[in-house]
Amino acid sequence: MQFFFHNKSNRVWLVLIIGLMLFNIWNIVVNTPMVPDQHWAQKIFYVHVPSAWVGFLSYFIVMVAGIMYFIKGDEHWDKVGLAAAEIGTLFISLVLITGPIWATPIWGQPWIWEPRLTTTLILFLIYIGYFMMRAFGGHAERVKRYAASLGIIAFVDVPIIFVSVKFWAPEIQSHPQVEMTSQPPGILIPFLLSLGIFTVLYRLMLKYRIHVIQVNYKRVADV
Amino acid sequence: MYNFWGYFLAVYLIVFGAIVGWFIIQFRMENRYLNDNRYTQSE
Repeated sequence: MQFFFHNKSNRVWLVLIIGLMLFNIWNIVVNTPMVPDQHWAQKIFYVHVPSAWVGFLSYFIVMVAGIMYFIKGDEHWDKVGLAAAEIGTLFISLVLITGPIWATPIWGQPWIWEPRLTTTLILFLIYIGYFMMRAFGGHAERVKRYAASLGIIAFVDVPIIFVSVKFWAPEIQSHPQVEMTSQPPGILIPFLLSLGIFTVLYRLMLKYRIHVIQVNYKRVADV
Repeated sequence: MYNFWGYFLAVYLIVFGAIVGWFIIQFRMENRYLNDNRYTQSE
């Protein structure tokens, strides 16, 4: 097997994504408006929300890979599920770190046990369990089936996170209930742009991680 | 009064630092795995 970036197309994508991300940061810093009361802290939103989006998208792919693993019985889908679970957890970790950093100056405290934060933390903990099960679950074939099942079940929490700001009583809500469509174009367009660039970045990360997992499997098989 | 700029900077350094760090880790892992493979196959 070859190095991932020996492939010209992957190198082109990497350079393109670096360029797009630098443009994204410049656009956020220079072109987005300062929101009164939050100033620079509001601009955290342009990476916090795309990180959450990529995390949830990744967990959706874990679920699809789990279903495909059961239908096809192909080990490739187990690798896709593992790669997506790892990257999803990286981004959800970033969400759980950057959220409290934003909340410290805005709420006056980093954490409140309100529905969206709590359900996101539960999702993160489910995936910590997922990796523990993969590491210590015993027989390899059985672990793959358990991982596929857990990946499917864990995704149930994602729509709960989405509706949590409306589902539970308003008195216990602290999360900003922002209707993105009602935002001015000065905020909406850079936000959508950032969302798109993070999605393209995610595609490359997933492809790269699957490649590294395949290289590792081949190495273990060759020994 | 909070230093909003400091919070903004911290978030961007953490997010992009983590992403760049992730790529470096993958590159090093890939390098090690492929070199291991070549070594075992040449024996």
